[in-house]
Amino acid sequence: MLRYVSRRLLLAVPVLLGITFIVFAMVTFAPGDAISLMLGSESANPANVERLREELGLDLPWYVQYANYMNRLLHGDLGRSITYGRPVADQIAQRFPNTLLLAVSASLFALIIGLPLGVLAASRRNTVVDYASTTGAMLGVSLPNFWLGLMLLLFFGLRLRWLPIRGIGDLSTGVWSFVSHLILPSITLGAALAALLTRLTRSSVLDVLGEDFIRTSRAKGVPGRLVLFKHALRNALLPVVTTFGMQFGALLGGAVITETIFSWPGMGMLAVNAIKQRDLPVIQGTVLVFALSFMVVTLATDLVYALINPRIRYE
Amino acid sequence: MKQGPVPVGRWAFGITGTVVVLLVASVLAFGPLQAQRGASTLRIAAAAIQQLDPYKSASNDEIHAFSLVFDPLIILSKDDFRPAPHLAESWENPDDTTWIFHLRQGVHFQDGNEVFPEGEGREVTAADVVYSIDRFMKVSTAFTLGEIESVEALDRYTVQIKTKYPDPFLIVDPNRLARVVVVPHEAVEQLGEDGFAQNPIGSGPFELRTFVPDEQVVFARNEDYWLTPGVDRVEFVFIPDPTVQNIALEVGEVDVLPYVFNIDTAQQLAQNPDIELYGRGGSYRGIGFNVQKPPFDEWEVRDAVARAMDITGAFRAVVGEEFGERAYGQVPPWVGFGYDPSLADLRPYDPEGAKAQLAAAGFADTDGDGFLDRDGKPLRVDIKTIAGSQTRVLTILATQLRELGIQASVVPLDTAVWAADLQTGNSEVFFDYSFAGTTGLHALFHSSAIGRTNTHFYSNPEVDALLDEASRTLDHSERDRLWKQAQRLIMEDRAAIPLYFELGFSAVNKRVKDWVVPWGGLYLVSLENNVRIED
Repeated sequence: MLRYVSRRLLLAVPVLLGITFIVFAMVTFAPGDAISLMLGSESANPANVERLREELGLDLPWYVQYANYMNRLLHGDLGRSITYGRPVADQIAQRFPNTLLLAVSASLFALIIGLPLGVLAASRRNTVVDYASTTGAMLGVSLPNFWLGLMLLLFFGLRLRWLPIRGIGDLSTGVWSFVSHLILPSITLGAALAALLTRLTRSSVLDVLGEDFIRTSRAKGVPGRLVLFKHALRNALLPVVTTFGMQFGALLGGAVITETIFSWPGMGMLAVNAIKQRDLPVIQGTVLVFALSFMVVTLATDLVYALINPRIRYE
Repeated sequence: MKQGPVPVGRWAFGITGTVVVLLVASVLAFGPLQAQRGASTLRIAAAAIQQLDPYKSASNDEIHAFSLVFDPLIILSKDDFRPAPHLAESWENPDDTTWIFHLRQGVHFQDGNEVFPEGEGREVTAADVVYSIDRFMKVSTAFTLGEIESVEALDRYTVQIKTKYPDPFLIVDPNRLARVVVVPHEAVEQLGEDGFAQNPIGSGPFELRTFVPDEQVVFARNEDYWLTPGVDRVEFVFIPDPTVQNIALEVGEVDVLPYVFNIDTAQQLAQNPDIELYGRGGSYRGIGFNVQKPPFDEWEVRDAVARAMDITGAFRAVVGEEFGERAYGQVPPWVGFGYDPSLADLRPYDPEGAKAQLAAAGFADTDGDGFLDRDGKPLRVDIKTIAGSQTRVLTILATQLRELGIQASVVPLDTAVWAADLQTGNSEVFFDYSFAGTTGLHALFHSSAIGRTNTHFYSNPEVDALLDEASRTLDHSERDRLWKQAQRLIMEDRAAIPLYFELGFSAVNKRVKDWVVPWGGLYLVSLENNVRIED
């Protein structure tokens, strides 16, 4: 197991290197840069802007810029924002926990809605409950989250005024303040995953319920509750866990829209602003952290898989 | 085998039901959100505030925030945009290149912080002004003071600035001296550049209380300020999405949107009885030509395109007189010199004349596709633009051009791409823009700015000479004359087609009184106004 984990972590190094290069190339060779934006302003001080270009090494050939960046990166330095001058590491350290909180909260929402609803739909196949859950799941998957977010915000924030429309809650001002800020963004971000998990759990549980060992259990007189939870659900969860793991990684990176709508001070917003400003060090930093998180989550998913299914062994 | 409902299904049903009920119940139990803040807290919407070093901030939000902490020497009057006293009580010009500013006495830097302990806020002196101007010139990328020869303190309260040439813009432009706020050198030295940007200390009406970049910025009233601020606290509320900013204003989560960038939004907010729109200044919007790119290097072609469009109709349909003004030149009325509505007479809308002119220039529909061409090449007018009210205006105008047989389209671009494309000359026709500065005409059309802000690649020695002379003329009416003359030449040359001036607005909850739309900086407390909240 340890060997497997080490190998996976080692494999992450070339992948991350590749990502740094791809992002660098995409930003560097795309038209437009932070310096042009500054120079385009009629009030700019061209001499100071040119000096900034030199200080940041943006006047050097691209391969030298990339080499310099990698050199700093290997020394643990993510650089400074071109636009704001702040260290990228500080910005990420401040915002990553917020994005993680939102992603965890959205996943919890997806799990507590998706799993029971999926089991319910499977256990009451072809009933009203099943059809209702299918319809709900279809809506969850097909509603774009910018629209869902705005509708939730308009209804619960503007019309009913029940829930805050922006920002992150402060635990020191009370649990409700903290939780109330989480509700709408978590629903917005987690809706698609909840829908996916509902459908996946339903079909997976249905598959397992048709297996011989379930029939044997029933024949032995095992109570229905035990059959479902001890035998069926545990087996049915395998594909659900895989999907959940992959999707959790995607939630981290996909929180951009939700963060923008709900003014959630996370990594997504940081990345969007950096892209608008062509702020290369910040774009690099955020993408690296997203990629790294995705890898860690995928690895964790694989390990959890082994825990749930003892037949799986990593060597 | 019959598979009946598994009894445990009820259990799962129970979980789902309980979660939903709990969620709804908790929301209902806690009821509608209560206003959590006192009446004298002013809440201003912002999209991003990362740092508050006044010379390193370029975004509007950061400028609004640091404006509370620091005092500038002068501000631009809310009524006529003329320079008005602030930290400098008065000033004079002994000669055309010398400016002498007399400072207000008894103004102190904020105390009770890491640099100045309680009760030990030092008095602001001429030496601080000299230090600040020096630092501003070294550090600022967003703003320039022009050609400064020397800055020195003549005595404790008198500062002398010598410019290399006579420079009226030093004090009339919102982006020059009005941008220089006074900083204490001890704060920069003791806290370091990064530390100062997170803990700004100045002499302004509000002191920074809390600063978490992009999350929380709170200021409290400076009790020792030389004027008495009308509000106790100012809080910047982070809302990056413009739609959500509007909602936040409507539900009372914020009191002020300092700038409303979108005409639709302004029109919508104007309907709300609780919200007042404050207008002041704005921007110039037009169509620019890269005059070195064929076929737009030919005056006849540019002129024909200009005359082929019913700009007034498109302006009225999209923007309207309430939110803008039809432009015939680049200089807007609020700049104070150079505004010339008589340019309206310059070859007005005349589609038939335009058509005839293009025919005379050799354009005809030779291949029968309905569009004009010459030497096998169609006449294309692809207008590169960024988002804004102009997109709809340009779409109407492009449709009119197509009706005349010109292959016209609107090409929306990301701001960074648009800026780079224009600067590198990779554009033929583009959305032409300049904001509220007084030097816009120079920036957009002087040959020295080619490749930066003169994206027209326009070079006319006569215009250059007029602009140079005007830029060195302190006499207001003479500068007005020269500026108008240069503008007329540029417009006759058809380097650009002015469309309209879009007015700038703040949207403000009506309980906030005495608001002034930010111009250069945000001034809540000055000799001209004092923002307060009345319930």
